[in-house]
Amino acid sequence: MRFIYTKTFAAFFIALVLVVGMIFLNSKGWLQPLRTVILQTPRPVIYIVAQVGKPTQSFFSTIYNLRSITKENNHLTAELFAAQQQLVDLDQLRRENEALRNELDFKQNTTQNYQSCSVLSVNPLGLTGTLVINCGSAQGVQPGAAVVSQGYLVGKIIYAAKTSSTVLLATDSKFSADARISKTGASGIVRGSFGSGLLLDQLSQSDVSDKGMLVVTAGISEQIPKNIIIGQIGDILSGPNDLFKKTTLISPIDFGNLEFVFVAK
Amino acid sequence: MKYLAYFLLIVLLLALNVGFFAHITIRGATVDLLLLLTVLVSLQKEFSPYLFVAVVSGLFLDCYTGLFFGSFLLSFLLASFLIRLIAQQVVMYELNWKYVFLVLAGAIFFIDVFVWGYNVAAVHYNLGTFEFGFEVVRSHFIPEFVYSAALLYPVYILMTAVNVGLLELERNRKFR
Repeated sequence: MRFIYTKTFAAFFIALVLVVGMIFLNSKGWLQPLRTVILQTPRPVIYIVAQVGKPTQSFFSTIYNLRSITKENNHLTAELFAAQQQLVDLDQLRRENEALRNELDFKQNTTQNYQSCSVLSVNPLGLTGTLVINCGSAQGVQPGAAVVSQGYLVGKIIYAAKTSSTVLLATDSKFSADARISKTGASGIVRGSFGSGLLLDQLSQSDVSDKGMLVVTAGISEQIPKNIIIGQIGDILSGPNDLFKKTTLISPIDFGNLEFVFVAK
Repeated sequence: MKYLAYFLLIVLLLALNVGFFAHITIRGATVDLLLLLTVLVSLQKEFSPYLFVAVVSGLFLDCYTGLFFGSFLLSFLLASFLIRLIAQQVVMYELNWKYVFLVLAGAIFFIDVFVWGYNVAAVHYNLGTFEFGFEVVRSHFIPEFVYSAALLYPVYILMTAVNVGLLELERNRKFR
């Protein structure tokens, strides 16, 4: 008997037609209810597994990172003292600013509108730096929009279905966004880097870029608002003879354990 | 009943993958428990729902990874069919772990390359919005295989438990 007449092949062929049909239906957006069911149904089980697994995970990661935690603790203590001093200065400036605003009768700037979303999955197979969230075009989420967590930029929307969206994390090598150094105004481009987090690239060699300086979004793209913090400047990677200056960026966000994010609308 | 039991097993493995193993990586790579289940089910001797497992697992992964729709649906379906063919024509049905590891390595390579190529093609023809570099596939292959090999036996035990449960249910029904 020829192979194509066997039961095995017939079953495979039917399954293949079904799958191709599903891909076609999805391209027309008609598979949305099924996608929603698939994304929402296992959530309670995922939540339970994540909650049960967290203590085990944190126990092993604490042991693994003990040395760097001690180092980081000393570094953070020093930073805290510096920040407290800055806070006093800023309080003074705020009071002066308020007094001047009152005198000039300034109106408060409108704040950016954000949609809060739950994270359904973070890069479950390690192939891509993406996450899936439970907000879509029905909630006003658009491709290209900035995604923020704890006030820091974590990525941008690359695909928005009706009730779910895919976010490209800032640490993915395909990510890029306009940025500037908050203190000097020097502009560059923030990129993700395969295996090593975030980079600030395309800075002019004459730009001052000291370790610890804050880097924020430049707001050139309409969908990524101005002044969202991206991270602090780390080490300088480029040499003095390179055309542009390149540095690492340190973000306090744990990109692998995001639970809630905000999407700019 | 068989299909419901396997559906619940898929949900459980997906939850373990998304909620726990996705956070424990070896050189950036993690395990794909649904691929392990698909490989093991495809190698089962008795009538097994390997196409059902492949399609449902692929569907779940397509939704949860955010890659271009069909990436895992098609690759899982093709991989399970090829494994079934190899098991029928070339090797044998008794689980021989030496061959299982070989099949697993082939399946991981096939699926990663297929998903990469499928997404590159989707972006090239303006259908998809995102692709990843071949570097990811190349650098992930060995750690992903080691990780998967370490968890193959636990998944096999879970699958066997489901099969034993189904057999007992069947026996009780006949007995009544």
